[in-house]
Amino acid sequence: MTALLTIQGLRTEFGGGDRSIVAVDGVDLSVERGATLGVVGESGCGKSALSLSIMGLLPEAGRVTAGRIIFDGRDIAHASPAIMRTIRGKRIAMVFQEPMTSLNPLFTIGFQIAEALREHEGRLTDRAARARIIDVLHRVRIPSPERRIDEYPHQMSGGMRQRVMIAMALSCSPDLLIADEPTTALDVTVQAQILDLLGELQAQTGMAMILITHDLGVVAEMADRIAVMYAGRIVEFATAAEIFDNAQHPYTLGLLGSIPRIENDRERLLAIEGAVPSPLRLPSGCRFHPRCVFAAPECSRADIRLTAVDVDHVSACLRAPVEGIRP
Amino acid sequence: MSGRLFQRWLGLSLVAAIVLVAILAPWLAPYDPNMSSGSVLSRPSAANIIGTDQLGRDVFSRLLYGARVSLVIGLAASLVGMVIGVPIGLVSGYVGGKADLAVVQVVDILISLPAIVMALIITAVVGASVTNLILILGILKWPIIARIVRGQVLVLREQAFVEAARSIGCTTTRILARHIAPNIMRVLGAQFAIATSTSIFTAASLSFLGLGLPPPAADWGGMVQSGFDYMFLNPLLTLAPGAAVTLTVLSFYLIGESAK
Amino acid sequence: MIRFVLKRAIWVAPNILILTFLLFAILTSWLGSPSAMMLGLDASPAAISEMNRAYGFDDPIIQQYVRWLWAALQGDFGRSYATKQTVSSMIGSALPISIELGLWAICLSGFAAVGLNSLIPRGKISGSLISAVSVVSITIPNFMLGATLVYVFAIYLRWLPTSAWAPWSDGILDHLLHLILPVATLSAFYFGSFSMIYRAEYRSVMNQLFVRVARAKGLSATRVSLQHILPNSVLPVITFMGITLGQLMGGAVVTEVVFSLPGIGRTFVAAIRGNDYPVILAIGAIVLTGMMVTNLIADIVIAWINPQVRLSS
Repeated sequence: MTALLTIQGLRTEFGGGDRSIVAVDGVDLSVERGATLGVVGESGCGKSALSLSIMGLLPEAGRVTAGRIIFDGRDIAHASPAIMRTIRGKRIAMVFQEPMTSLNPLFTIGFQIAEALREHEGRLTDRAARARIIDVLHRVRIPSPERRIDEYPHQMSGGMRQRVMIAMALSCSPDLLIADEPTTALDVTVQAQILDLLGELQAQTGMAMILITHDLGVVAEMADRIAVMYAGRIVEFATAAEIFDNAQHPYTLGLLGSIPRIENDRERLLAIEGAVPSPLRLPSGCRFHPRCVFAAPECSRADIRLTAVDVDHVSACLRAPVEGIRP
Repeated sequence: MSGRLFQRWLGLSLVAAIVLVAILAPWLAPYDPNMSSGSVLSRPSAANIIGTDQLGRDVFSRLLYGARVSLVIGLAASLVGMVIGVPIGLVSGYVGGKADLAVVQVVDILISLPAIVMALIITAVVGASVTNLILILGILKWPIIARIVRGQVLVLREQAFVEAARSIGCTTTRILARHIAPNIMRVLGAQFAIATSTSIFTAASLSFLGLGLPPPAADWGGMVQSGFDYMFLNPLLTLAPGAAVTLTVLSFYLIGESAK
Repeated sequence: MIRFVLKRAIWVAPNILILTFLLFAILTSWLGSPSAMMLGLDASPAAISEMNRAYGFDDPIIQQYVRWLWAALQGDFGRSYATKQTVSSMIGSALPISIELGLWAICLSGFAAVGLNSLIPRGKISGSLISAVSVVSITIPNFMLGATLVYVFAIYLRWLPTSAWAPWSDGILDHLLHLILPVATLSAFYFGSFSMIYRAEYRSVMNQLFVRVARAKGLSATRVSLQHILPNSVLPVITFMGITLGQLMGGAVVTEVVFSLPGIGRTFVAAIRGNDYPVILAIGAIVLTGMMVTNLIADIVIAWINPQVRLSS
């Protein structure tokens, strides 16, 4: 069976001419039906540009300049607006980072969910639409949905609004759900609830999911495979187990180091020093080398590509495997 | 971005041209603007390129001199508005409290008053002359300037360098004059240009209504009005001074908008 | 919502009183005693003071104001010095004309500004074209635009009548034909203002996350624009429409004069030129009151659109 979504050599740029910024630079990825892909990286690494490229929702200045986005056998990287409209919301749905501003303040949440239904499910009586919305609100565990359906966004908490956003995304039973930092803006206790909910819903519906986050902890339990992005590129891509037990890229190790873990709190945390490079002044060679504790002179020169380090595990590090050379 | 630059360039060069015309009017104008040639309402010809008005005066010469009246009234009125509005805005924004609340409410009401109706009432009370017109238009302008200055001050007040100045014990007057005023110069410049633009607009409208400068002043709004009755004979009597007002209003507006 | 309306209305009422009192005080004290005007230039001082006493012009200003206000509330604004008609009958015939002109202009320009800016894609050429038209329509004085339109359509092409007012009784077609040029002239200015305000707001709303969410649902660009961006960006335009409508209570002064329309604006200019004190006072007071009331209405409309205000009570 072919993958649901295959991305090949995707390049997304913002602006034009000399000042163009390459936000996504040659990314290859794939997501199987029903599987969960975690995309992890610090803010500014191109995760959001990647998800907006898939949705065809890049802002005016942005565009896909190379590569293919094959969804269910069809390249949608340059699909017409009319075709994208039949895919967006219906086959690929998205949940965003800021539930507080994701909903239009002037309309009830019921109306806003109904919009997606009516767009994709043809004519629907008011009664049928209402029943379906109440049902989907039930599924995202919103208490007393019969009442909540007529409420406005400002009457709900952030966690509730994110549930509404998930309900909206699920309303047309998509094949793929892209969740872009879905819990970052929420309280810690609510974060766990939302993640559990996403996991359950996925199990029920069999949809595939791309879970985008800066926090490896978030994807730890949910993702089947994890792609680590840095400065517009994928630096490591492996099964979740491999990433957590056998990470080969120093950047991934750094991200892992920033997750506090009880069992090995004696071990020195490998915090990452420095900041993500400006996309206008990217370092030569490996883009991570100025911040890398393992960096060797050749790291700044060589053109480093993803290479297999194990079955189902690729890493873009010249010095991999880094087992023996811990600093 | 380049559109903005183009706007400013266009506005500045037009204003420069109008200022030149105003200064050089005595040398550029072929005739005395207030002297009758004897031939009344003559059509455009080599001698009178726009024609003559109902009193036989050369309209082209009057058009050139009209730039003086417009510029003087517009610039001076705008200055009056700044002199009243800037201090009020500075103090209201910086000091805050009840004084600020009072200023905001008065300004809110004054801004929504229709400029022409208010100008007409005041003109009826004090009578029309260059000085009165300048004062009237200036008084109509200060509320909007005060509101904009206040808005800027509210932002600046919270910034680190102002906090720092306050913490080392600078007086309020010194902070306003030394730290805040220089930072709103650009906004003030833009507002000055826009206030000039709208003052010229209102002044010309008043003259058109017959409540501007008394004759025989060469004044564009008045020329439009007196030419209006002879539209069938020579439309340029109305359209030429009308175009002159429009161009002047437009050029100051472009400068102001591009500097915002 | 009801509490909100009451609160605003209670706030507006004293403002109307203060403003009309100021107007009354300024006009009465600066224009001199009405007796001198009514009796003419050769009236003897004795006659003037006799009349002052008879009519109460010597009373304290506040007492005179209360008397004027009491009469005005019953529809009595006195008689015009110039035409000897009652001021209320003059206003009664002029106000509907100004209001009709104003409503046409506000509605047309509002629809055009919001419609064009929402529906025309933000391409480079169409975008700059709309801004260029907006700038020109703000900066061209009404008398210039009116004169140009009269010259082109009435004198040169002879398609439309030059000026004057055709009442409804002349037939709808004639009525509307006479309205085209004045309405076009007046609309241009408002179009420019509405368009500038709406565009700025539209641009900031366009970048809000809920707009991206709406697109992510698969809605068309037009639907996203009309359903999601428009209602959120139209609020400042409504505020401005309220102010504009209030200002038009004073008539579209310049436009009415250009096209010889017997509205409030032209009546007002004639009164100012003739120092016709009761008329100036009445129209001034109507403008101030109308403005405060239309502002209030605009505030209520905005609050009603916003569920956060509508639902709190």
